[in-house]
Amino acid sequence: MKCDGIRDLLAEEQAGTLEGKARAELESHLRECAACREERTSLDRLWTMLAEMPPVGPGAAVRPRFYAMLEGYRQGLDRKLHPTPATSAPRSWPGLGFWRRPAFQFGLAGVLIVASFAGGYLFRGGRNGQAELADLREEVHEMRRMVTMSLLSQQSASERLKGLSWSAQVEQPDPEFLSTLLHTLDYDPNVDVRLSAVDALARFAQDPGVRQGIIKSLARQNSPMVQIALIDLLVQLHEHQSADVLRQLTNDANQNQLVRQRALRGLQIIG
Amino acid sequence: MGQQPEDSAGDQSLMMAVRDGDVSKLGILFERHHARLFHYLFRLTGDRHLSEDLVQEVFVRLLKYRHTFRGECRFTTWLYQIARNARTDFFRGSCTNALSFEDQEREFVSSHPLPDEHLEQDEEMRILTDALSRLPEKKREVLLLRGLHGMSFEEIAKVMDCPVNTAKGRAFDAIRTLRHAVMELRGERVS
Repeated sequence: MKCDGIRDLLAEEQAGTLEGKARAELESHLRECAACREERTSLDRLWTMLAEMPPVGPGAAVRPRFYAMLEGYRQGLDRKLHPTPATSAPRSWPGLGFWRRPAFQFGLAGVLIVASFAGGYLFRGGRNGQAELADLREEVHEMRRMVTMSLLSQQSASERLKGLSWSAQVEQPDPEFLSTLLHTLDYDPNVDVRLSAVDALARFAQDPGVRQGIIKSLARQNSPMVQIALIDLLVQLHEHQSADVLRQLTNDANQNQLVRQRALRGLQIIG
Repeated sequence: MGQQPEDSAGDQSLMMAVRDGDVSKLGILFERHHARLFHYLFRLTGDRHLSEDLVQEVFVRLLKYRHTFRGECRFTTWLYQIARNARTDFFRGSCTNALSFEDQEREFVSSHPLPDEHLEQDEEMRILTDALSRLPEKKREVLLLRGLHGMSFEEIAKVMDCPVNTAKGRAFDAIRTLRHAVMELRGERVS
């Protein structure tokens, strides 16, 4: 048999599925052909070396990040299975913790709006009613803002994610609120939370301070997923001031290849 | 071939427990598999941060899709199927392929000095990792699953979503391509 034909047998042998007559045929060829013999030896050696490649370990942050995610998931599951509040409530006053729950706070805010509207309509009417309604709306807005800020300061990543989701309810953010979101984007140890912060900040991207913060954050991030999300956002905003950072990323050989490509494409789009 | 972590039956029952709501058992599976999974992803992508992100993403997906685990295949087969999908989703729309990870590799080697007697072996390994990084992604993938993780071709076929014979053919083709790349890097004549 010629060398080309023997390759199929060699492949079967490598897969551990060569038997009987075919195996005898291969062995017979190998006894006569030094080139095929050498090829088999070197292929076997390569498989051995692949199995012995020195392990490359992940960074130290991977473990705490996983356990933060797992704990958040476990807590969420517990709350789903056991809806009775079990935290923060003194034994002498069971159920006190319910007022801290965002669902209750949001619900209460809604009830207040409706009550205010109805009350204003029935008892005052006209401008006074309108003013009261505006005041109550402002209070609801403030409550949403506080709930978001409070959730963002929690240890559990799932709570912080919830906080970012609540941020969508805030229509007129103050500088402190925006600063908290930017801080989350910059320093939260959890990538999923940082990615959600990108989405949350996108809603307030008309604010020049937010845009500047996003540009600065892009230069600071080390997660390719977050970097790409930020690049996409800046390109979507046609933010010309991000050109320098995008150029730096494009030229930085240490950056992830995909990030560099995305930055280059971004530069081309925003000009 | 490389060895898969032992106690496959234990993995199955742990994942069954996770599926049935005892999610804290995922911690044991994480401890058993995350380093090896990271190694696989790092060899594939050549990017340390991205590989760490993907490890996290894979375990998030294990929780998200835990109800779909039926225990019909080994846990590791399911794990690497999910890893493959997570990676594909990340790179979707990109033409990126065969990333060089020479820099990261150099960083790794320099932070883990080897005794003098291992220098020659170290050089061989450096050539191997360099050659591996030059291979097209699918070839690299099949070599890692077979060589590094010691998967059977039946398992590789499930992970790569192809017939068993295709997996076998790809592996043989890939190991021969790797041999050529190694010979080129050594400056040997390629036949």
